[in-house]
Amino acid sequence: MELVSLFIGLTFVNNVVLSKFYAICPLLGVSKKPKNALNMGYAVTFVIFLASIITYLLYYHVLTPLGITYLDLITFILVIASLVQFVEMFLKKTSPEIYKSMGVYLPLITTNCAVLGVALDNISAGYTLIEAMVAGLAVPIGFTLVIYVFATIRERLEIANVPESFKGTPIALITAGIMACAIAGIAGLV
Amino acid sequence: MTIWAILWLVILIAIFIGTYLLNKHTPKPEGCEDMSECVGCNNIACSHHSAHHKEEVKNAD
Amino acid sequence: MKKFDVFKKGLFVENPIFVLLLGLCSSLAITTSLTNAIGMGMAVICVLLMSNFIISLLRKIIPNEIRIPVFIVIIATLVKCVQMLMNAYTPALYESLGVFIPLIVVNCIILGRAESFASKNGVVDSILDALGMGLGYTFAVLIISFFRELIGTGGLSLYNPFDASQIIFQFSFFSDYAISLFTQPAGAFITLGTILAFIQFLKVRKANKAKKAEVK
Repeated sequence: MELVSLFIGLTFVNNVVLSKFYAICPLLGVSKKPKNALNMGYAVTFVIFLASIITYLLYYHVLTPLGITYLDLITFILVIASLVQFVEMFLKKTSPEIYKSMGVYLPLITTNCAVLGVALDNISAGYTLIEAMVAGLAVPIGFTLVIYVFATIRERLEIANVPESFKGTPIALITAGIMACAIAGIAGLV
Repeated sequence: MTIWAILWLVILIAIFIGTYLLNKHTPKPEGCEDMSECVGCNNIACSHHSAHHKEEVKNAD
Repeated sequence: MKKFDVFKKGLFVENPIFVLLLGLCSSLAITTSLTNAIGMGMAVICVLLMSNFIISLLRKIIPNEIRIPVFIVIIATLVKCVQMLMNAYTPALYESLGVFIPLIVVNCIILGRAESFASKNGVVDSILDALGMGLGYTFAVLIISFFRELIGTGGLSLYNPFDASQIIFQFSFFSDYAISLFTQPAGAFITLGTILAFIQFLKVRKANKAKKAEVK
């Protein structure tokens, strides 16, 4: 069951936020309220899953046959940006409620290191299509978990007795560090 | 070989600019006008960043 | 001295990492050693300089409607060029920076400066701003990696990026007492959090002093 261990590995052990440092900006910026964090997580999951499939297919079926793999970076970023624009337009037209809750975060995902990072990692790790799909699901689910837990912790930090110079971002970062310790502790799982 | 590269680039850029313009001209559903709650990060590429709203107000005037 | 102010603000007052909190992804990931930090700083300065230069040259020609897509295309092209150059001339650095060189494309600093400064100001100002921001970024990343490497491995080392076997300096102070947590991801968060706390402490102290002076 390699796919299962790949999934667990990417979600928990090699969690993209806490061990590979993708998606730090949204982590610090969006995670003040748990509900917002969850909405961000949905949006990110949707985009990363689609993006990893599309970029994988484009790399192996368009760029490699034509011998222009040096255009991989430009291709990926343009595809991701177009996908985000398309998804946002689609949501605006079909479902205003969903757009109201999670559409706010969609433009943010274009410059999210996680999307481009997953696309590039899928290629450099030499995954098959199925493995790329699993990675495209595991990575954003891991991200959502972390950002949700982080948001709940931050809610309580707001009313906790934090020293003056640590209030706000510094204590949030140290919390993230402790969470990273926890994640590193289960490194032996896979 | 380079002709394919240039062609591919043109296709991609056309798709991107196309979707970007389509998205920009799609009106937001009602109730979503004031998304100023997103003051979390300083990512200026995000279309909900306050810098863009100030510019729209200036253009409207 | 207005030109010098444009350059200076990127260093301290609007330091991209410590004040604006942009581009944290790469800054936390590559600060495991001084060599990586300097290499990444150089790459970011290159890309920032060229992108600010090109965008401020073209700012009157790019239609206002599609400026963000055009910026992204320009920046992606530049980053790919820099990546290929690094692969050729600094292979050891390319190996250790890994996927974070292409991730300069989505580094909020580059797009942020292009959108907020280079598209509205002249060429010379944009170049100065790029230099200031780039040096501010390099300075910040150097500080973080200084602490991480010192506490994490008990020493400091710097290699010539163009020729990995040539060691510029290599100190080893107390490798028996090194806390290897700091070279791991958890340590990156803790280091950055502590540095930001220190900066906030300085700010709070300055604000308190100003309040006391006002009361008197």
